[in-house]
Amino acid sequence: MDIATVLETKDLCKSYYLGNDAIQVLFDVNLCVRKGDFSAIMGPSGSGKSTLLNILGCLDTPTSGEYLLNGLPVKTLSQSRLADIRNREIGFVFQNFNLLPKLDVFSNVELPLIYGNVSKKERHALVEESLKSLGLWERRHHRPNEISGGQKQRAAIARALVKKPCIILADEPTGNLDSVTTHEILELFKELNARGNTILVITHESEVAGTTNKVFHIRDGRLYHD
Amino acid sequence: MTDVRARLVNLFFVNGQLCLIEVFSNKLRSFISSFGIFLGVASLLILLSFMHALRKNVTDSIVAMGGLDIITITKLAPETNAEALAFRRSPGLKLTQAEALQREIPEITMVLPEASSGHAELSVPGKEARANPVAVSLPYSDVFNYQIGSGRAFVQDDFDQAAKVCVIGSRIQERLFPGVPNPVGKSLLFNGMSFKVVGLIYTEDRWDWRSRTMLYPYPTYERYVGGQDNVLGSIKIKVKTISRLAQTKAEMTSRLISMHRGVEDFDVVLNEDKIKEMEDTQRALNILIVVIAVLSLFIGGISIMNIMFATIGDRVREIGLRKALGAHKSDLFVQFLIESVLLCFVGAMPGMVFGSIPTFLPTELLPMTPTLAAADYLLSIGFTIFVGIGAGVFPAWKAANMRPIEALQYA
Ligand SMILES: Nc1ncnc2c1ncn2[C@@H]1O[C@H](COP(=O)(O)OP(=O)(O)O)[C@@H](O)[C@H]1O
Ligand SMILES: [Mg+2]
Repeated sequence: MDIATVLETKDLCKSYYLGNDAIQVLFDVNLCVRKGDFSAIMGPSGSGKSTLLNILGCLDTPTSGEYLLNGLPVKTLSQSRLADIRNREIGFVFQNFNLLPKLDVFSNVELPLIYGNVSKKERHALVEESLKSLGLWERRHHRPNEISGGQKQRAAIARALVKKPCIILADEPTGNLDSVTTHEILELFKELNARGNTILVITHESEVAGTTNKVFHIRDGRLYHD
Repeated sequence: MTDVRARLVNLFFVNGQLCLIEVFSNKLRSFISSFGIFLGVASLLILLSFMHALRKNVTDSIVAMGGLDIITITKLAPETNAEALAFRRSPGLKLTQAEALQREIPEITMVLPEASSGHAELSVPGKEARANPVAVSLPYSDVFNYQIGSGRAFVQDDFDQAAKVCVIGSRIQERLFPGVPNPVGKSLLFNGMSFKVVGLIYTEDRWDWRSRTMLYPYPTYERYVGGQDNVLGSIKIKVKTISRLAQTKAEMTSRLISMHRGVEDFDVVLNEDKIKEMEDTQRALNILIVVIAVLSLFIGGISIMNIMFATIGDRVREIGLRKALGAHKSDLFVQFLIESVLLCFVGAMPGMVFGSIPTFLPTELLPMTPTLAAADYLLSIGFTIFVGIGAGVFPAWKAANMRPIEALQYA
């Protein structure tokens, strides 16, 4: 494994348990993302995309198999270390934005920095940098319900970027957006990738997958390389 | 080091700010759910303020009782026909008996006869006042800590001449001589006779029972008020050695019984016993207050706990999101704990204002003067924090331990 590998899975399996029944959702997934990649995992609804992404984002644990993040075997880490990793190494972007409705754009973007114990002065500088690079600085005092869907997703991306994570994980980031805005967000991802960010998008739309440099297909919990 | 500091600042201060937003964006809901705390804190402060007033009354009357070295002999009223018959054999309580006791028992240093006429009407032309006239002995004001506000206390001359002079409390003065703050030299009618006011009794507030008292010399009572047999209501006796109170009391009792021809138609009471009795009442009141406060705050705490569980149920996704963004268990635990405490304060703050109202009421409206000290407010703040933490621990623990994925997937 070379230094440029950000994340890597080996024979990753995931089953959900409902009572005594085990439902296997992921089968022997082998995935590798390198620094600077802009990849997509594409598959129909229910194929296990979100399940995989949640494991990659250290929100969930695999039933078997290995997951290495920056070379670290994730299953050996404590809950507290996992929280640190989610905070520092991973930037999440969700389909439904997941902005806190009572906080303005600035405070929403600031949250990961608060959990990362960044001082107030530094927080301000980093939020400003992140919001300006996404053209949202003027909107910083707006609440989520006062801005458009595209702006919401840009705010969520600003939040994902603010701690300069080693990878951005986006779960159907354009699923709730119209086609014009979808295009805008995809262009934004492209630009962010060009600036050196590693991005992994999951989607069921081929248009989204088409924007990326590398596409994996997932069907019934099995990952197929292009 | 700076890391630890930043961690603590963010953990408590920044999380606290987030909670403030949360609590104040639901003002009505927050207030309704903390209404129990409002009532708890308000009633705690009201009870405390009245307790202080009562305590002051008790302290005042202990001072007015003249200290531990006083023994009081009081006349008993017969309770049955047989008793009434027996009591008739006794000559009754007389000053001469007390003077005899003083001669026979060296422990007794002073005999203070006292004749109270119960409630009586005092009047000046066109005005009347109900009062407690008490005939007292000369050293009375020294022993019982009466203070004369204006005018003078009694002097030997008043006693030698059985003069019709009196000192009166402020409420009598207000009634009989309105607009005359210093009625020294004026006259009033008592028992059909004209008494000259020579002084005013000083009292801190008008609820002090001494403000309704009229004092006049004991010899005046003997000559003009008491009738031929001169039976006394009570005699106060001052003794030398407090540690020998019990023996002195026993000795006095047995001698008095023989003076009364074997009839025990009197009661001998130590000030010590009276003080103890008052302190017992105080203690019972204290316990009552603690019980009421704890109960109401407990009930208030339960409604806070209830609303905190509901809040957490409503905000499962938020909890998941925060975890996805890197929140530790401690972040969420502290966040919801602070939120619970803040919620309690939403009720406690107006509760403190409301509970302070009795201390601002004009003194005419209440039979005592309630007061509150800084310590009482600190106590209610402490209680509030305690209840907030107690009510928030379980919900906060539940939130902190949610699995991030389950919280995020929650529909
Ligand atoms: N928490 C869960 N418990 C049980 N089954 C689940 C759970 N989450 C997802 N699944 C199931 O796993 C499968 C994959 O789901 P998901 O990863 O969300 O797919 P996708 O994101 O590709 O639509 C689906 O059949 C779904 O019903
Ligand atoms: Mg999905």
